[in-house]
Amino acid sequence: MAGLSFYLDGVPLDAPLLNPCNGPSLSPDFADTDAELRLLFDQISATLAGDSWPESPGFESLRSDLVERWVQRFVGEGGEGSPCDRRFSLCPDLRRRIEALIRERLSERMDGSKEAGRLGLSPGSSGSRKRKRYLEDMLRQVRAFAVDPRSGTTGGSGGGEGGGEEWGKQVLDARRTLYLSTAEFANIEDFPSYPQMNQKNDEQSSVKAWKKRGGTVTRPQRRSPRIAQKLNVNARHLVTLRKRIGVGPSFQADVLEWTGLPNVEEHSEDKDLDDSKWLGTRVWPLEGDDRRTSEVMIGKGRTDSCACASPGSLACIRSHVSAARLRLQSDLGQAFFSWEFDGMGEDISTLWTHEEQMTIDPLERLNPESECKTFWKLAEKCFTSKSRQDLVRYYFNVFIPRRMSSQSRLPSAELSSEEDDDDDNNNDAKKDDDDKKDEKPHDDDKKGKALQASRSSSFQRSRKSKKKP
Amino acid sequence: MPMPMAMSMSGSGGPFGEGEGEGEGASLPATSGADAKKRRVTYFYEPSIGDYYYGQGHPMKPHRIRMAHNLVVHYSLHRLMEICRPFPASADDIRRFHSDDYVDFLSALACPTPAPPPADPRLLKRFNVGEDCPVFDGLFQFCQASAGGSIGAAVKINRGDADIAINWAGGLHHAKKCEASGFCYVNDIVLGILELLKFHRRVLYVDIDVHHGDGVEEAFFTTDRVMTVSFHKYGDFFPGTGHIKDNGFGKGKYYALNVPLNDGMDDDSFRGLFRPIVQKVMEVYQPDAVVLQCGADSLAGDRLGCFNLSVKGHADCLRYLRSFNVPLMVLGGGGYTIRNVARCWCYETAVAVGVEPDNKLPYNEYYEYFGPDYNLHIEPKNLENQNSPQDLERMRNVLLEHLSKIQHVPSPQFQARPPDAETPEEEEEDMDRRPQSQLWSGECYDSEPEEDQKPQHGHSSISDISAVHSDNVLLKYLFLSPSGN
Repeated sequence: MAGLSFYLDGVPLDAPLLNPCNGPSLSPDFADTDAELRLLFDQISATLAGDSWPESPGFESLRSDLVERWVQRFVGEGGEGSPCDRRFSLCPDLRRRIEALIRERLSERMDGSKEAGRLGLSPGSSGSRKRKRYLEDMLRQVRAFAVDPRSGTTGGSGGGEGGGEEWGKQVLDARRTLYLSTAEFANIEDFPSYPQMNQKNDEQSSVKAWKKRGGTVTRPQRRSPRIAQKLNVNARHLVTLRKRIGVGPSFQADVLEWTGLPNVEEHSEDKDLDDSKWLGTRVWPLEGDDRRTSEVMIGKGRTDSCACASPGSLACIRSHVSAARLRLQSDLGQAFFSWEFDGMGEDISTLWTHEEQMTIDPLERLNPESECKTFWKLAEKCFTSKSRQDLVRYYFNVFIPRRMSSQSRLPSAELSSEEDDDDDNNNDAKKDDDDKKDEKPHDDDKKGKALQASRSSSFQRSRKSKKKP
Repeated sequence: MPMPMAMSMSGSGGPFGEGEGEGEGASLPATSGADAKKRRVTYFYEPSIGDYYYGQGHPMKPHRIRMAHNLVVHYSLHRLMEICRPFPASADDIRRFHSDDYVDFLSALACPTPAPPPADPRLLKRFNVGEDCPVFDGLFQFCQASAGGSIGAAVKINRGDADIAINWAGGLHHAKKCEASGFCYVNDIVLGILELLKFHRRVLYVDIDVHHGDGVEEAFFTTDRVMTVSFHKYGDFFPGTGHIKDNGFGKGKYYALNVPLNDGMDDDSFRGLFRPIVQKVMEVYQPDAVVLQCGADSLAGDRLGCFNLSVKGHADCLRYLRSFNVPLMVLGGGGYTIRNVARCWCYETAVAVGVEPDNKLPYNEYYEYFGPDYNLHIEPKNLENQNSPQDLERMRNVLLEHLSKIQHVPSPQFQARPPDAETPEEEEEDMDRRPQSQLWSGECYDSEPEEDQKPQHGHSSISDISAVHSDNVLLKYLFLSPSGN
């Protein structure tokens, strides 16, 4: 008679036992793992035997022995498809529940073996009970971390009671080391906008997936920490981990041994054609263009002398840029178009109707009342007929330069020459991406002062309001 | 797949004496004397490059390449170059480095339908596409143009048609064999170097992006036919590789050099490291061609970077490498304050063709980007240089020590050259310098234990935690069990 092997094949064992296997958390009725295991065991065997165990002292030890063996089976050969598994045909939830209990019990024993010497020690002493309670709390907390790795960064809210214990701190530290990636503690606004959405979805779906699978941990999504520079204090050590270069066929390029220079004559027969395609299309110098412009032009910048009515004004700059364009066009000839200079600069705004430009205008003027705070939101809404290329070109050639020109012409009496640098530093953050979060709040404040002195002080507020919570 | 076989430096391999390489290739001319000579410069530019858009708020903006080109042309620098539109690299060309499944995945994104079907999320995750490396319109075409330019630049050099070949759309050094990384999908640099290796026995790769050039280093980590040298910020920084002790593996041991730096590197400190190290590298490695990745995020005021280089300081690296008269491929890379990127790459184009452009920018279509000063050059920020002179000195010594290990490898050059062989005039200066530099890199420098060279970021918390962790069986058990996979 080997353990429980006499039990019938295929008997539905779990019919009366569905209750205890709901959900992954410990049922509060069973403070003691052993007690619950034992009860399950009893219930299963009762179902099979159609009878209850007799209550006699001698039988008690036999029963302990049986439970023990039962547990051993689960641990030793409990893999899918093992004979034991087939015979037991438990509902998966019940099986998982039992396995979880056994696992807990094992871990308790590992810890408790110092005090208790032997496996199979029966519960009873108050000290051991206390210890179990403690371990159970710990387990609960660890599970909560596993389910939601982020909870730890906000102070272990998933921890529940016992958070003050020393092990709680250890668990947190260890967990942080093991599971946190830079992304977990980086300011989420450091990432471009799409990941934010992905991440929300990801969080939701991972919770769902977790529920479905009854407790398997989904690893946080891998992401590169490149954008995330501004780290919260305690997490900085994470990125100092020395990463190593991979070695193996899936990392290195195939580099052949040097066998001397290829014979060029031979080479020209088979490979030359292949080679020459890489030369691409020569755009400059122009074919058959033997004009010789004086080298005086090369490397020349602008001259300061300017006959405009108000030098440095928008109109002044605009006229000089147009002149430069015309000169360039006559100089470049066909290359002007080959390099798509006709698609550069303010001029491409002529491809947009006045109405279209007026729609975008409020954004350039930094109007916080505009419903669409960013160019791209607006574009999505209003310019569905425009191609992506048109939008990108307008954005970089018209929208951004116009915004930058109005900003750099703000009366900025408060900006000392020193602050110019900071301001300059912040220009791209402000100008290139209207929805990008502020990397340098103090710079922003400085800018804010300058702006408040100007008519566009509202921009500052609008930018602040864009900051995501 | 077997480990890539690398040529043996010590072997009697193919004879590689004077005159068999690329003209002046293996020689070590004066670092200043020959500089006045004009170089034949080819420049690759894809006119549509500026229209690719990574997405709202993404710091990588291909538009910067268009801005740089615009400045180059307004400065009339094109008159001193040949300018070509690159031939787009095909999926098969990209497969010369990247794995089949990854290239299949990338090229499937190029689906011509107006709305390509959403990619399989598992694949996106597997190839690290979706966050830093988003899927955007024309992604594959963008990669084709970038890689096509770099391969084209390599072919130009292979054919001896150019002394310097520039591709500002290249330099995407993070892309890995099987995955995208750090805004990079296809590693045009690796593809370009593979092309160079057809005609050049040894290729030197130098990377001055603020980020470690991990993709290129990894690709050539086990070969001595490519030596990689990367100057980068290390510690708390993407991608996390590039420790000073990582210097190659197997045959590639000592053929990867990492210069890990701290915030605030300025022109002088950078130059103080770059010049001696590169000089030593050129001397001991004697590359037949050099590839310089000019990531402009090492400039002062970069949106993602933390160095404090001026445009001139940045371009000094190119100026110095150019002076060696070895065929040179110049590539772009990072750079996220786009007006400074345009400034930098325009100026470096000028350096390549040997022109010193005026500081006052010519009027151009993107003039408004360059306010309020509208100058070509930028001032460094008032930023503390966290690299102390002592640190830098120590680091330089450690690196020179690494390099001396290469020198101890018998080199065909040194053996093949008869001591009294007739040498070009420029060699004279060379001969003067060599014994001196041997002295300079001699054994007397290994007094410092290596540990001291590490950037000073505390790992204490980590080691403490892991010690606790490994001691505690229960904890370990609990952590291992729930993950299940």
